[in-house]
Amino acid sequence: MPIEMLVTAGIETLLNQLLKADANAVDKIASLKGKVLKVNIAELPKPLYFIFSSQIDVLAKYDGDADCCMDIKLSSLSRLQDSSQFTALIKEGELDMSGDPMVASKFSIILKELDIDWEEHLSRYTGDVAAHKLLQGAKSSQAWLQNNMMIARHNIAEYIIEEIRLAPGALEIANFCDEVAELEQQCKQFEMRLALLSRKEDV
Amino acid sequence: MTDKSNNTTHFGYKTVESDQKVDMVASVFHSVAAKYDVMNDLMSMGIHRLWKRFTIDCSGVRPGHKVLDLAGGTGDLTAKFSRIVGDTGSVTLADINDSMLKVGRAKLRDRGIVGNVTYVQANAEELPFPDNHFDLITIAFGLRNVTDKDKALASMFRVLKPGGRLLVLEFSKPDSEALNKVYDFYSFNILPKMGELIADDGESYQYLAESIRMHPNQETLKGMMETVGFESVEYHNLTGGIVALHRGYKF
Ligand SMILES: C[S@@+](CC[C@H](N)C(=O)[O-])C[C@H]1O[C@@H](n2cnc3c(N)ncnc32)[C@H](O)[C@@H]1O
Repeated sequence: MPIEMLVTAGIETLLNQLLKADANAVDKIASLKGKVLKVNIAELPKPLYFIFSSQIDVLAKYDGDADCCMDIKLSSLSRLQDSSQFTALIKEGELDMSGDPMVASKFSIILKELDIDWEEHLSRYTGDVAAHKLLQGAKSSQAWLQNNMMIARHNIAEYIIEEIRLAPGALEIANFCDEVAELEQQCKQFEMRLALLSRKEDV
Repeated sequence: MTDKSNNTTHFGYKTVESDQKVDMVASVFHSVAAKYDVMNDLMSMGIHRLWKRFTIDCSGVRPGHKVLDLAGGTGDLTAKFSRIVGDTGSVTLADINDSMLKVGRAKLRDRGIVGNVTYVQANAEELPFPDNHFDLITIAFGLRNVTDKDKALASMFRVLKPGGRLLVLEFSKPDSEALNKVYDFYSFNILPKMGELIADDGESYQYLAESIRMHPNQETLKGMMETVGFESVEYHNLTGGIVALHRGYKF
């Protein structure tokens, strides 16, 4: 599974969750409806496309034309929340921008409104990307594979929790938890059976 | 899959009369429609969302496009396409099953997806749309349920615009023997149990597991797509080939 899917899923979930809780930001996003912003983050292997509608969709691949394109380093991301910094960032060589600057500055206002700690959120994934790259170089290494699987599993679990939180109501969750508890019981039984079976196989 | 000489086809591992299969498949999805989304998350441990995300990234979809989400069920892909194609584009959610369409429509309406989505009850084998109509067709976890897959693929080819593309997301054959074994155990022992626990419907999920096994593998499906006219057909294995995304173009 391409690792970008975890990145886009994570960012998209986070953004929209925060958007939902913030009436101001929702109004602001309406003025970006139909626009596409491309952001190249130097540390990530693929660009991120932000597609604005009633919410924000995040893709790693998009065939249409973006209205605005930004190239930036991970370390400068947090400064994007202040559009008055754009000129300074460009001068420092930290930011490159082409296309409609209004899209970028409106997005920057939304980000400010949402107040996201980008570095913290993305560092989770950059570790993964590094792992992914290394993995491609050393595909046969068993230990590596397991390590990567563990990171991936951890991220997926976290991601599911975020997405699930969005969906069902409290009653559903309570019911869901009961069902999961039951399932857990089943899994334990399954594990025991498996242990038994593999012991048999060892003999 | 269909044996033309005596008109039988596979329903999971049971062999049934062809025209019966459509009804049987329909009843499976009637019985799982309501809890379908929860089951999807649990069965695939949430990974189906990532598979679908990858599908969207490979779709090339953009504002103004006409999209057909075939066997679209509860409309996960439709929701996203609807936002991307915008007011100038349109998405058609087509499914053979009325209950799935209803659940899908209610869900999308709740999420504020209205305006550019239409809902059509249709059989993939005989699509009720004009020739050269859509820029993109997706069929996610739907083709394996279709009785005559060749006929369905030909029908999709017909309604696709020249330059358009078809994406088939479907369970496939894991590329390692070890994974295959684990996966078999999961499918035949755990999955139906989960179906029983959560949807109170083990039999339907037993059918799902079986239908996954009967589905053509990566190379076979690629060949089938080429036979009906698709070009530049390629596939991507996802999660070790448990799922594959096939893509083909009409030129
Ligand atoms: C497993 S669901 C997939 C739903 C959705 N695409 C998703 O990925 O979540 C399969 C769907 O295929 C539909 N289906 C089965 N046979 C069909 C046919 N011949 N034509 C159209 N839809 C069909 C079922 O009603 C069901 O909604």
